[in-house]
Amino acid sequence: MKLEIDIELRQGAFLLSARVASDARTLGLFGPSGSGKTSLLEVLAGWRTPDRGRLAVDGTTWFDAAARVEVPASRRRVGYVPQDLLLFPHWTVEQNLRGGSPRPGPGRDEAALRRAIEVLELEPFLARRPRDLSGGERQRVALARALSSGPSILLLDEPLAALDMALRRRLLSYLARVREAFDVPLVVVSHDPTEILALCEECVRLEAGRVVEHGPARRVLLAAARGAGTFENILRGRVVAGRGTQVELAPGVELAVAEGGLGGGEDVLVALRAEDVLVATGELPGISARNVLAADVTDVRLEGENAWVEVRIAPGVFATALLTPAAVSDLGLSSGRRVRLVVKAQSCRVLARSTAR
Amino acid sequence: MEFDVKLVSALGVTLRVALAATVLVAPLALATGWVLARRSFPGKSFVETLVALPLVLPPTAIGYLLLVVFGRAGVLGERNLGFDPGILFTWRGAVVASAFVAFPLAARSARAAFEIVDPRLERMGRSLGMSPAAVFARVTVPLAGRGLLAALALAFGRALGEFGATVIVAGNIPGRTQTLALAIFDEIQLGDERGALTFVGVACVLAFVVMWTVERLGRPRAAA
Repeated sequence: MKLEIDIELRQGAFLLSARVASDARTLGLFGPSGSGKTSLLEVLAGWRTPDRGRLAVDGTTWFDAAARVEVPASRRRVGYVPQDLLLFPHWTVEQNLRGGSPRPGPGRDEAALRRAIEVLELEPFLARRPRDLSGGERQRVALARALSSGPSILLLDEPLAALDMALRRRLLSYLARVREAFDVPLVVVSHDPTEILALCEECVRLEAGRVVEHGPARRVLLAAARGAGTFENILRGRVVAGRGTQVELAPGVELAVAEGGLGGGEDVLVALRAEDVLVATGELPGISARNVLAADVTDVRLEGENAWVEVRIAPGVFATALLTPAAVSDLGLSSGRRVRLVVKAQSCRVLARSTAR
Repeated sequence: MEFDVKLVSALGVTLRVALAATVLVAPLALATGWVLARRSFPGKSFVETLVALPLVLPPTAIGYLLLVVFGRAGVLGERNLGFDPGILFTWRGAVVASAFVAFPLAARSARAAFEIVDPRLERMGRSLGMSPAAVFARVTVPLAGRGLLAALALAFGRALGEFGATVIVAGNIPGRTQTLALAIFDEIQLGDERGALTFVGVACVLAFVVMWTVERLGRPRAAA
């Protein structure tokens, strides 16, 4: 996805002034409430008209104030899941997915619809009405409805905010599954760094209507995540068959987690706080921690009291450790240094699983 | 005319006039209600006032204006049209008069019904690729449905009791333009108290049924 945003939108005293250019397939919009995340998403959806500027997706101009171009929402092929979902209350789930029409109408993609029903496990709910569903089920229906229009881009506004912890975990795994199963670019709005880390490559941080930071999600969110009780590290892996507490991150690289009851072959997201990752440079005989992983330091950043040590565990598997500047200096850590990471199984939280429970 | 025949005929004329007036007023009232609920435009408050005007104008004034419009030399009169539109002193005249008086009630109730529907649901319909007509027919109208039916029932109810404008435009011709309201007036003029009371009783029953329906429709449907 190639996203070019350069817009200004005034709403009373609030001014959203956003400039973003991104090639990422998954982009997070992060910031506190009132920072303009939802407004920016509604500009993308075509629900709000900016006062000035330009907006283009994959080279197609959707809005250009100077050229008086505005592609209406109905022709943008945007799958939008707003925070309040906006399911049609008078229709069944199936009617919601089919736009109220029994036959696949214009803009309906039957194959995408069938796949959305399958991936989001909605078959048992098709005849029900939204009011007869739980919060998580409604969320899945809204997601499936967005997907079944065969969208060119998927916009999710706080997809997990209204759910409790257990449901979040489940829905996050559905979202991860959607991301794999549908080749559709994703823009996710959230005030929760963990959600964005789990779903997005890149992240834009908004504050008071302005873009204050834009870059790889891990980098943008590290500072924000600190002290917010969130997990700086989200690792993807697959549960090793026959050993339900071992998660394979890459061929030959396994991580022990404390959670039992995982099924072999299951895809999981494991969350880990940067402060729970220890770094060692020598041998570690007799240690209670279940995980000692070899890694290479790729970057060390000092920010006041904090030293962020970025490491590569395997190709495509990265993690961040939070140390003190003194520890970094004592161990002589710098880019390229071979180290061992020490992680307690108890520190590894399974954030999402592929199998719904 | 015998009393029984007069009663049945007045009841028939009343129902026919009220039903026709409701059918006549429905598209215009729904369209006006929708525009007032969903669009903003210069002079909107002027239009709102204009729509409400028949509520407070004396019905006789409305009747007189219609008489001027449909009279021989009126804008929609025989001389201008080249033929007799057949409105004055016919049951169609009673329909036009009732429609005018019922219009503001229907339009204002329809507006309230449309305003209850979250416009973001309509926007979602558009984002999902539905045409504006499909959004209106499949999202807006069904969600506003009960309120819209209540608006039409209210128009029907108002048309049932219309007197002032009707008597001027359509006259009071038993068997042709005499509605219940006009028949009651007739009976009082004739000094037939029992007759007047009978007509009033029938009018009360009709009015009760209509308003009961309006109230039922106006209430939000119980969550099932």
